[in-house]
Amino acid sequence: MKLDEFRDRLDAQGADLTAWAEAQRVSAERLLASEPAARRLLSEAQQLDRLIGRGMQAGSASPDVSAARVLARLASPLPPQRRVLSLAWPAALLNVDLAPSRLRLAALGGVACLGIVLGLFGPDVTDAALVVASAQTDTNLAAVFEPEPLTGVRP
Amino acid sequence: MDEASDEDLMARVAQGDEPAFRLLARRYAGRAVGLARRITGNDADAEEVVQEALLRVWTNAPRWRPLAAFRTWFYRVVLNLCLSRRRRAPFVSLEAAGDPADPSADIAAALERDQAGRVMAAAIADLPDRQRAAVVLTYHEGLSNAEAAAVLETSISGLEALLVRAKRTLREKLGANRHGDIA
Repeated sequence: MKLDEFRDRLDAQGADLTAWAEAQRVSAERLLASEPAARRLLSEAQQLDRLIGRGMQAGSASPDVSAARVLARLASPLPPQRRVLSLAWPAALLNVDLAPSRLRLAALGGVACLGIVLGLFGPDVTDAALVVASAQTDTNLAAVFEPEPLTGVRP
Repeated sequence: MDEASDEDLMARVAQGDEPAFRLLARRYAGRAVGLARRITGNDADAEEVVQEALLRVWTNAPRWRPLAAFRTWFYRVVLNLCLSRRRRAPFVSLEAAGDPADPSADIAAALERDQAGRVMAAAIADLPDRQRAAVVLTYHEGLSNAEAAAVLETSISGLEALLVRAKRTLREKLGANRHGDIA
């Protein structure tokens, strides 16, 4: 580790070397043993850390009084919580216990599948007379809604 | 319930458990006020910010997911509220606000320590917002670099860059000789 890197590490991670990662700490201790300038940097960093700590304590009363005021203001009825249904329903579904009705659900699924198969591949039971009547109805309706041949105006 | 973890309490708050919320509020109000005071620079704003943050905890609890520690999430809410408040209103530094009268003026050593602290507090107050937040989170709240980075929504290297720049600025402001004298 070089002096520049050591200085940056001190600023980034603080002057307490015990809080550093093992490899960095070992490397830093080696530098400290060989370089007087590194020891001076460490001493300055420790002083700066102490001063910052002092700065954090200076000029401020205990937060307890302020905290008590905040808590007192929260004493009035709290506003309603925001509940999002789109987030709530998956959790609600997960909580549904399907175990007791598994057999009935399986039977329902089976019947549905059978209906689809019969609908696709089952016997054709369409009434021929009904098909003709339906076709005639379609033709009559088409005449009603067809545009006027010359002007193109729709009725 | 007093021994319950923050995350357990939040799970109860999400179900609308008001006593759990009040316990969580008591647990964090003091620390949050201290943090907010360091960022906003005054008690009134700090109290309003913490009240707003706590109400957000209550109203948004059903949508909260334990992806991060509650403390990290809550400090992030407090910090964001502080920074947006500071963007709206210009900040008067502690130095500009003047020194209140000190009844224990006869204690020279205490005064000297107090003076050193005030000078540093003013220097910290003048730092850019995110640099100041990084310093406050690590030195006032005692968060690790990883935790402070999570609060500031940046990487650990990003947080360390903020700390390096902040300390260089503080050194420049205080002067090497001076902070050697008053330390």
